[in-house]
Amino acid sequence: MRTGFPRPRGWNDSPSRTWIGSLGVLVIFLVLYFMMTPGASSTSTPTNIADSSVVVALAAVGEAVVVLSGGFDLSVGSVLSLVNVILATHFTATGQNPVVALVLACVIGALCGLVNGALVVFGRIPTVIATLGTSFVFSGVALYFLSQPGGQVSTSFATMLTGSFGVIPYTGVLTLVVAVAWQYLRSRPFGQAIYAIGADAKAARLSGIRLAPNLLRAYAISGVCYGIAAACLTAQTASGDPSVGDPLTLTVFAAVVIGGVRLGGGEGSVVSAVCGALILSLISDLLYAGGVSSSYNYVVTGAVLVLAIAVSGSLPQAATRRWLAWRESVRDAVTPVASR
Amino acid sequence: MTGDTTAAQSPRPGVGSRVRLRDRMGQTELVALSVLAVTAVLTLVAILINHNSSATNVIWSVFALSLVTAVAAYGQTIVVLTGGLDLSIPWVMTMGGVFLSAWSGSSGGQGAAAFVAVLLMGAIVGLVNGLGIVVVKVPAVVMTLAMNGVLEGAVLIYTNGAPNGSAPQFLVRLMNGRGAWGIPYSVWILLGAAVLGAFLLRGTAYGRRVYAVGASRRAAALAGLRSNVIVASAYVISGTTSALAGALLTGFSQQSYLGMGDQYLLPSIAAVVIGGASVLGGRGRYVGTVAGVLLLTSIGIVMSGRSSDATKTVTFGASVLVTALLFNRSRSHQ
Repeated sequence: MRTGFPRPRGWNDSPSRTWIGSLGVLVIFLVLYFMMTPGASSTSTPTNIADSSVVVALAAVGEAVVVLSGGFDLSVGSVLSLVNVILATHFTATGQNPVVALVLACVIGALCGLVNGALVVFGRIPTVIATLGTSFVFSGVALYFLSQPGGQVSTSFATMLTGSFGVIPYTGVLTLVVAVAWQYLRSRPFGQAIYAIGADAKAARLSGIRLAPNLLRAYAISGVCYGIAAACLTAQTASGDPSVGDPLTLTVFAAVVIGGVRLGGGEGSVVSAVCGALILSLISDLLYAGGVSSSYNYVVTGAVLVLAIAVSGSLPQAATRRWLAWRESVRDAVTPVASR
Repeated sequence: MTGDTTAAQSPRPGVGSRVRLRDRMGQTELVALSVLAVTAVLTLVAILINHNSSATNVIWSVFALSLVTAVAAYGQTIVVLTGGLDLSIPWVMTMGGVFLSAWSGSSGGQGAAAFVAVLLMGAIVGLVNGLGIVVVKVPAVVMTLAMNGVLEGAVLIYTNGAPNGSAPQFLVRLMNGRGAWGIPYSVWILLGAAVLGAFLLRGTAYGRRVYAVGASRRAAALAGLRSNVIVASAYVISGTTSALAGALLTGFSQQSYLGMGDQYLLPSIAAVVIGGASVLGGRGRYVGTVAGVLLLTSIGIVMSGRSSDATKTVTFGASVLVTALLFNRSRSHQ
């Protein structure tokens, strides 16, 4: 329990520190990647890295927004599946405009996000239960569209999201645009409100920040991010699968945590969540290059997630606290009572 | 809490009557009773719709399967009572089933030893969850989600994608045999488990401590309870019951398979929420959870054959949301 005046975290603490930390780890992994992967210095490497990380990176941006606001979104995987199957069942003809498909993906994602947001804001259900419930509703709806893997998307849609300008991949540009858009929003009153609500919802409300519109917008934005992520996923697989998103929920959470976003809200940066996604994708590439079975991916992702929390957060803090308490007790023991 | 007074003075209709009902009976008991009543009606409807004997057999075997859910939901109930959530149930169950059949041997000869070993494994997994949550301070949702992923990978690696072995004979008989009046053993066990589980929570000092820690960890700590130990123990129990549920499921289907626990996560949470427990901890009854399990089972029976997996998934998800909307609204934004 915090006592006294609530400190608005994320305002005083420089967010640049976590940002630089995850960027540093990313650079280390990039160096490792170039050293250990044969043929890594070819011109297609940026596209490979961007394409294999873009889905988790974009979804992690959305998840990071919700986590920053103090919530958890367990429905991310099912929203990805839902958008995926809708695209794969409705954008199969070659004549259709691929931009319409992308916009539709964003709209579906935003609607899913708004449902989550409304349940949390107006229904006042704890975010974990609300998003767990909707995750099953969304995957059920996905099953209506496509009961088993199948479907396809038009080649124009697939090429729109998988190509590159020379060495610069489209997906990399897309991730950059989304990250820059969020950095802009972050500097606006809305972004500040999200950090304030995540740090201490009660204090934010008492200082005049309206929770409902800001939180609804945060969930809608996260949904849009999931929608774009799902569009990229669909372009890559060029087919639909009602359970394609299931294993991604854990990976997205891992990316957010590795990026240094504080679970519980108020601290961290969305850009570093993108770094987290890149790190995770490089780890799995490195495992693949090392000839390790892909089954180990789950184990490594889970272990890295818990390790990241242990290193970044409470363990060092607890150790520091214990040390301070010990120092205090030593001082108490050696100082005569009269002189205190 | 200031919210109480404002709620009492608010002109919203229905608030006063709800408070009076709660005073008279206790909300959880009310929820459990009404859920049981709905279950009875639904089951009657199901029996009337298919009134030949083979359909009745199907209904009994579906109720037999609700023992699996009820066992997994017992651990979930205790975890939810402490204010947490266990998302690692699916792959702890699969782990339990896969290792049980692998260690039982082809004829299921070393079944008893394998059974005990699997329960121990579940307890160890739960202990790791608990330590991660109280020592490393990983949020329960994230810790158990990560554990689920780790176990999924570990089981895939161990089995190489194809689990082998067979279920121990005593579990097969237990889950598929019939006792008095042609009612499956498992339904009798379910009744016994409901009574035993409820007693453990309401009638023992340990149960009291779980409620105390869930209501307010700080108050419990100030009252001299080691709340970290109690929270961690909840996950140990949940790991054990999940492994047990996996073993029972293996007995029922006479084999283990990858992902066998996947469809038990939502029912385990839904049953707890439908049973009237607060997802914020400190309030809830195992009897309510069992009522929730039976309701979900009867919904499944009524819907079976007439609707797809899609409808079932949506209904289960929606039932969680509706009951959360009815009984689990927090006073302020979480």
